[in-house]
Amino acid sequence: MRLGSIKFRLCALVLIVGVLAAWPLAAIRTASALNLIPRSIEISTAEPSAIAAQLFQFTYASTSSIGSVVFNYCDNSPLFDEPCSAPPGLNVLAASLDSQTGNTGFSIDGVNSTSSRIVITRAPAGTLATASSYSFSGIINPSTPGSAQYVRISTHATADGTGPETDRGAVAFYILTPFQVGAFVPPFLSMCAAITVAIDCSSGAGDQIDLGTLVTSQARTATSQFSGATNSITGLGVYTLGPTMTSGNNIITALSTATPSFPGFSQFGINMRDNASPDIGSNPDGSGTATPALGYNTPNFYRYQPGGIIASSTNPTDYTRMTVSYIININANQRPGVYATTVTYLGLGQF
Amino acid sequence: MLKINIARNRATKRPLYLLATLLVVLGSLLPLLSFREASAAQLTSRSLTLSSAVPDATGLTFTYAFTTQTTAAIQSIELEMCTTAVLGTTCTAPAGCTGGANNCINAGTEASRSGWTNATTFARNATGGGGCTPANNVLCLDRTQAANETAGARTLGWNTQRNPNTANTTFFIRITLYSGAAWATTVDTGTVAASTAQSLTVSAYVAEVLHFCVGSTAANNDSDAVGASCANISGTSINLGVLEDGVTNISPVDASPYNGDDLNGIAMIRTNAVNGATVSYKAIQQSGTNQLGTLRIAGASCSATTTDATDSCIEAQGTTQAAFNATTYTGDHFGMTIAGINCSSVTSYTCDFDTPAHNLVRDAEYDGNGTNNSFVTEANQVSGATNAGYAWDASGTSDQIASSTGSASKVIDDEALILKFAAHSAITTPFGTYTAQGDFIAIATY
Repeated sequence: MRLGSIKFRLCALVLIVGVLAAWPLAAIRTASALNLIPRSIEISTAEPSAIAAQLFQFTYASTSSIGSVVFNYCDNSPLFDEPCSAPPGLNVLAASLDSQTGNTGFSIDGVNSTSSRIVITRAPAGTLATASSYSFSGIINPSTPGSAQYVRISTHATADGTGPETDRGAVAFYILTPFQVGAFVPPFLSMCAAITVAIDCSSGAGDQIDLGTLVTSQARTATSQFSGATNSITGLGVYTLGPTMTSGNNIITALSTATPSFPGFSQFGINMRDNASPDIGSNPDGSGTATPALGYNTPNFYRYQPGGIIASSTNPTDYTRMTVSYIININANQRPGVYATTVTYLGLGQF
Repeated sequence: MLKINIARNRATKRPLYLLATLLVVLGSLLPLLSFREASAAQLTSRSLTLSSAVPDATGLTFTYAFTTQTTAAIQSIELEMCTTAVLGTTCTAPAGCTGGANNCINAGTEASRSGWTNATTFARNATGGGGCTPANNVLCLDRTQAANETAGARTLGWNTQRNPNTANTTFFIRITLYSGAAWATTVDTGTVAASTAQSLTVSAYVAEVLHFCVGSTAANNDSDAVGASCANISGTSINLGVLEDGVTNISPVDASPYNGDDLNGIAMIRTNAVNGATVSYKAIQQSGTNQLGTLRIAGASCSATTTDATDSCIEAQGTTQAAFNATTYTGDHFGMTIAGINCSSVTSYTCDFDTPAHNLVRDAEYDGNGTNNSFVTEANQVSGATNAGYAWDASGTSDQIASSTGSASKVIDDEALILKFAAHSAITTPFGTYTAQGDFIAIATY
């Protein structure tokens, strides 16, 4: 028991003496290194695990001989006297030194660098107390989002990053998950039809046309309008639904192919162009890209195909207003009666 | 026989013991006798105050305080700096006060006084005389003032003094007051003590700090609580809801009826970097073709012409902020601004956006309406022109949006940027889900 007490006291004494002996060394180590001021790190991306470029900028404080600069990455503390915990996911082994300014002549020290520590080296040479920069690329960011990361920068007289620090200072950067902004654009199709409509379908008027008395000597004409727009990436199609003009069992022949107006012949047709014979209609207007379909897009030629497509766009289109020109001719054998039809315009988009 | 002999021996030595005892007693009384012979009284309530106790410190003021016992003229004073106290014994100068230029007290002028009957000041006499010989550790003062000084308390401060050069060492200054001007007739005497002290250096290190976070917040002003620190900031996205032709959706967008999430973005930063910090963002380049960094449908093939309103990419405003007008602009638009600086989490200094008094300053292209103290409050759906301007750099290069580098105080304590996003679609903007992603970066310069 007494021997144990003596041993304990001896051990305590040795420990105290040892600490006291080492204290000046620690103090010297701390006091001898000057601060790199100002200093900063600029990262190309804060995204976790992304391949990043990093630009270090700092001003040397000392003018003594420097052979290496150490960039030591830690996720626990910027303090040099604290143990360094390597950031999870960080890998600087593939880092390349792309450019350097100020105190130059360094290259990557592949022997003394690790996955969390870059050492750049040169033959020891005097330094200028001047602003310097070192740009690295090929660094794989730490993987922990929302985490602070520190880089302890130190200069050394040796070429391998060992020995006392000449100048030193820490910088910090943050790893963040990218921020996302979302929005939704709904499917959209707008269409209107009337005797007259506004291009943007904000208004329309009329739903009946009276052609008066049909004669064989000249075509009877009339117009109506429709307009449409869509954000369907495949555009829209406009169809006509409804038969040709009829009066009981008597009909006026619908023009199944594009045909000029011939008074004295039984004809019912439409197109969407500015015509001269007869003088009727207008070309499409508006900022949209829809166009009349084949058979309806040639001035002075008319066609009517029930259920057929009369206009379309192949892309999203802003409003396109089309003026539908109607021509009706009869022959001498046309039976008397009241001829009428209801034409329905159907717009379809593919979403 | 032996016992008898011993008794005899003791009897014969007894007178010697008595003589020795008498000598010891007389010896102990000798100092008293000598003082009496000098006719000097002892100064009472004596003290010496040093303006610094640092070893070898120079330019000091030594202030003496004492109470004189004798009413008499005081025309000269001797001050001796010694390693021992007793007057009349040899005075050894303390270390650092001997030889060459190591003058400790033989310099200076009267710096202060109190209690003196007569106003005539003392001056250093470099020659001395009588009982005072100037030396590095001896200061001889004199004045011509024959009038009596009434007995009592007084102080005398003397400048340009220097401490001994050894730490934690006591030294004494023997004070002798003389009635004449030639240090001849002693009036009162006394000794004061002082000590140098090892100066204690207290050091500490404040670590480099950078806290930076980006998230979402319901706050839409500069004062609502957004979270005490980054630990309280969460979220990685906001939703602008359903875009419609003719109106601009601006965050926060209500869930009903606009299908938004009623959130703004937020970027909070704290740093002790004395050279300031900047906040930047880079638009993440998404998959697809062209306009990869804007609000777009991921993977879509978009036009190289950014103003094309028929592709699945909403035109980014670019780096020059501008108000959006969905009513008059036939295309689509996407942008961001910093609605203001939220100071609710700042505790280290006075921070108020309205004043303005904040260290983080918005970049000119992201300050909403061009003023640095007016919060952008517009939200939900806005018809016609927006009040604020918006910008978005879709290029993928870093674009700075705020900085403290130009502020008088560059450190930042949890100042929060309220990020407001705006977008409107065109009538031809293809339907679908659109996203934009920002890679926010803080750069602190220590």
